Amino acid sequence: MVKACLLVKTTPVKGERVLEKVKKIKGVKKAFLAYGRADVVILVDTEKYEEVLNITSKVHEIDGVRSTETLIEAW
Amino acid sequence: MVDACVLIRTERGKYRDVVGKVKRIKAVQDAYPVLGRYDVVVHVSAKDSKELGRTVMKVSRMVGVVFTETLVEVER
Repeated sequence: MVKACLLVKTTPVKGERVLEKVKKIKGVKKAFLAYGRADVVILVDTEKYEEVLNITSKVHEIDGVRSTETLIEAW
Repeated sequence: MVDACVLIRTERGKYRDVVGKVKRIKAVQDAYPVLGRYDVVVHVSAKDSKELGRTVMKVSRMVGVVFTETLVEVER
């Protein structure tokens, strides 16, 4: 199992919509709106490394996502 | 339930015992070493914000932890 934590910055109004879309992505274990440096925090749990990468790219496609920072499990 | 994600920078080479110790705390759902701007990610899930605060304080005061950043869930 490969875990990762994605920190997502969204345009101000879009946070809720982004969260709804993110929750539908396969491999997303938990996602929530957050106070602080990131607007949405996504906790990912997948079989393979590559799956984390395509989750990141799926998140990028969501309208309203400005940037993401991925912290991927070290091994 | 209130969730939070605690991002930790540890002293060089200390991430393994930090992860070990953090995992023993009750409200900690998950903790694992990561690549990137931080060394360890901790997923905390507490029954209320008081327990969340206590847990975050415990984690940030641990031996080997140099810097933490906590992202707390917005309760709607």
